[in-house]
Amino acid sequence: MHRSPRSRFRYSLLLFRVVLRAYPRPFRLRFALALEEDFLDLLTASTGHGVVRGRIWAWKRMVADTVRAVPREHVGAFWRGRRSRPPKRRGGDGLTSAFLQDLQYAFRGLRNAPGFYAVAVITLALGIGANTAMFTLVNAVLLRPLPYDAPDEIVAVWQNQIRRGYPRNTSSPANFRDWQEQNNVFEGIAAYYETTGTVTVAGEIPERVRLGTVQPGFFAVLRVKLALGRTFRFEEGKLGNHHVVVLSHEYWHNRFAADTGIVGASMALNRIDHEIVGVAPPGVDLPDDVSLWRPLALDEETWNNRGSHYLDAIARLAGGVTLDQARADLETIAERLALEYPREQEGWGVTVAPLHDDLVGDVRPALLLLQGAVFVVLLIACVNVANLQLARGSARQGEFAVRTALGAGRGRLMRQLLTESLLLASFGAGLGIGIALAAVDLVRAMAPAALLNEAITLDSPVLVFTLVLTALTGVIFGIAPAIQGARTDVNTALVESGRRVSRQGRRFREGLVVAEVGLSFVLLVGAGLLVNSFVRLVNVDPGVDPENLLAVRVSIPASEYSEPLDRAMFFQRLHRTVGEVPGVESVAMASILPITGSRGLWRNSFYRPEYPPATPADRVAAILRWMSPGYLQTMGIPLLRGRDFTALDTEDSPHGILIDQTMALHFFPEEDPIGKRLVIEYNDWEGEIIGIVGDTRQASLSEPFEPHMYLSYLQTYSSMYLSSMVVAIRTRQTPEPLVAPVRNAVLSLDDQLAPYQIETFEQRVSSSVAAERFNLWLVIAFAIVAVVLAAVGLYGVISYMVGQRTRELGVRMALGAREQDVLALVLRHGTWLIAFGIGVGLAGIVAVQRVLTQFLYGVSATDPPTILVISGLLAGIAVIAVLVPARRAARTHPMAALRCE
Amino acid sequence: MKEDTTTHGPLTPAVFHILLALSDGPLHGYGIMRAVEESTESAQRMGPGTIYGSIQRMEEAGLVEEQPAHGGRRRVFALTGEGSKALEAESARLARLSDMVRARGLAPRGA
Repeated sequence: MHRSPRSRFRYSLLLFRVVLRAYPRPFRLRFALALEEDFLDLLTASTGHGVVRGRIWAWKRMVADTVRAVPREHVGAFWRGRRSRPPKRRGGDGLTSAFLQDLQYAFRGLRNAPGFYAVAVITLALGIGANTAMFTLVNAVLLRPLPYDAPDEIVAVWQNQIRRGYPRNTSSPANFRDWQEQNNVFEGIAAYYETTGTVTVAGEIPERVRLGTVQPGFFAVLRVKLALGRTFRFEEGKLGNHHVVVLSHEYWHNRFAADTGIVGASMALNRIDHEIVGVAPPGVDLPDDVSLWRPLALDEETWNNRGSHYLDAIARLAGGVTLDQARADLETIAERLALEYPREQEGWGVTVAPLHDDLVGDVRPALLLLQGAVFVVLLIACVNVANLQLARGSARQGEFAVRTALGAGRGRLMRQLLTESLLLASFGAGLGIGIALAAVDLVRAMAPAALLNEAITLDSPVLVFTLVLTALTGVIFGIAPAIQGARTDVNTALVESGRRVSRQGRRFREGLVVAEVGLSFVLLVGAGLLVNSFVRLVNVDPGVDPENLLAVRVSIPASEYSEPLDRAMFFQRLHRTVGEVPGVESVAMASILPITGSRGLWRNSFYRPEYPPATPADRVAAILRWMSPGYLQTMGIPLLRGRDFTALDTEDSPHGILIDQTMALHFFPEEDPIGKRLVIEYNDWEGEIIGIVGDTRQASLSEPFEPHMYLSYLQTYSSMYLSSMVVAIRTRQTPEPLVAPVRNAVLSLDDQLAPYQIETFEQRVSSSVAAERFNLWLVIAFAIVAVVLAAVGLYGVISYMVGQRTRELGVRMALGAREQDVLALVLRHGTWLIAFGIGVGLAGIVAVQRVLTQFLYGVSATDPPTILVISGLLAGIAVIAVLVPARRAARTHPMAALRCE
Repeated sequence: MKEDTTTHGPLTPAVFHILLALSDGPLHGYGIMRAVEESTESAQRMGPGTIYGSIQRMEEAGLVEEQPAHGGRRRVFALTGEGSKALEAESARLARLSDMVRARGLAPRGA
């Protein structure tokens, strides 16, 4: 039987093909088949030697040949490659000229289909612009390093009581001093606290400014070199030497017109002359946007205090010390202190965190969420443009086929299509940066205060981000059309002149639409949940009546009002004077008002005299607030039981305490608190509970009620230090017109005072949810853009497919299908896509559920009503997007449809 | 004496033998291999890989060219005019050399 050599020697041939892989590719491409033939000849010739020996002989020759030839060919291929690199075409480098040619084609395409390009560019500009704007914010707040030397070495140090839920508590002076003296890990550590102070300049209105009270080593920890003058000297941290200040650069500019001769001059701070010793460089405003720094000078008694916690601390890690080492070192100190001073130190640990984290910790998750949301918008934009490109690509199959027929390779076609995509993306980016600039202005106007300390500018890191994003965008939406374009089959395309889409192409495009619907569903549900929780949040009962309520804080300097009685009498006069302002219904005062955030909150421990705490861990605390008589009535806080304070409750009469409902439930679950006595661990002040009042929200609307105790300042002024009160004013009409008269009333008592934090209570409530509102508006905006893009995408795909199926629909109608049958057919197709998309979106929601939950208040991330409503909404919009082309299809005249082929 | 007009100088044995093999007409790789073996009585052994490698370089030098394929997988090569000239020049050089060698009685006459 005669068999062909190929089948006779097939195993040898298979093996030989493996051997052939050793040759360089170009050589293989040209000669592999010929070599196989030669090998077969050799094998055939070898049969004269006997089967086995023949094979061995043939193999020996071929292997010897391969071993000899392969190295030579690799060297040759290398040099050939080098030599062929120089241009084969005229006019410069081959690659460059090919790129220029691609660009030329792209521009030509742009001229031919301006509508398509306009839609694509606008879509991309929206996506890129929104991302750039958002990243501007992220960059300014999260990424830009602090303006200090080696900022990573700077840490914030806190005492903590993790068990009680205080991960970051300020330190007591004595505890801080132990850190300072005993640590082995810091190059330097400095204590500070932030406060406000009144600056008076002769002939001008006194001004309340933010003030950093800092240890002299503060600037050394930051390694700040002053713009003018010097930082504080060590001895200026001692009482008596401490009347010196450093100005912030901004304050120096605004208040002193950047007078370079300012160092050495004197200014009145809290009515005491301070020497200006220096001016900080721009950008330095730690702790929080302060105008001035003054030295922290405490007396020895205060330095020994372990009970009052009010010092912040920053430190710089010594060279080579890691964060973990620093933590371990300070924990060791804390453990030692807990043994030495169990009463004050037990249960207190140490938190060491990079200063940058500490400053941006609260806003980080929200910003990342928003960046994520806006990235989804960009993805949808990409999907849309990819879809447009695909649709156009099908229309251009003829063009590709002609180019392929004329010798353009797949790689070349792909490159051309990608160049087009990148060109589109670049136009989109150009327009997008314009959009971003406008959006950043908008963001600046809308952003909550927590974000505004940063200079939100579109700087070079942002532009680099945009550039990378643009390139990425171009590739993401360009790759699918490019692959499809390059796959063009010359024959079919030329013959059918691009009338039909391949089944595969259609599936792919449908997949894109499903993805688009899914992505916008996720965004829309996110927006819906945020709206839902925002509505719940602003409807939370703050515990007070915020309408027609004005608040203003008045602080008096210890230098002028040195005796407790002076201070009490000043506040009594203040109470009376403000009450006489026309339009005022009632007036009251308190040390702090509800919904003011957690700063300045005073949580004080207390115990019942009959049950003194056995161990420090048994101690309990509640928010302590001093108030004037009439506070409950003015604020609209209900008195639930017992009685309120009156002006007759004085230092000499029995001491009373009001507690709120939460405190009553929490600490007196099974007995009547009224008549019970409490000792407050502030100079062991003791009193009797005389009434129970309604709960109020303290830190923010979203936080649960905390226990409160209220004391009358008329009963505490000599044992508890009081230098600042908020005046709450209930007005008959809107409170705004009363701001000036109230201010004047305060100044009539002492024209050197600067009333501050003047705001209506409604403003305060509104600004307490500013961050939530900001997130909400942005996510809503993103969701709307997403839905519009998805609807456009859906519309585009369905109408394109209807166009493709015109003939089929025509045939159906010619065969008796009615209009509504065709309508149903197209609708069914669209509905499937929408349903799939929503399904994908649901899976997406489940996937991001955990992230979402932390931004929600009172509503779960998978809240069924929200999801149902959003599904309905999205389905409605999507069905409309499908309906338009579906109706067009249904109205097609059968003859027209048939003729169109 | 007339100067050698080719630019190829002395050729390597492989190139010379391939040119020689092709001087009888176009051949494919295995054909060249057989021809070389026959003409050198197996003193010069070249596998097809070596041959195609050399041919690629000879092609670049313009000595050989590929013939249009006859539909098969084989690759067939033929001498170019340049190739014939190079072969003639090399043969002449070798003839002169062998004359020189014989003139000095270093090789048996008629070997």
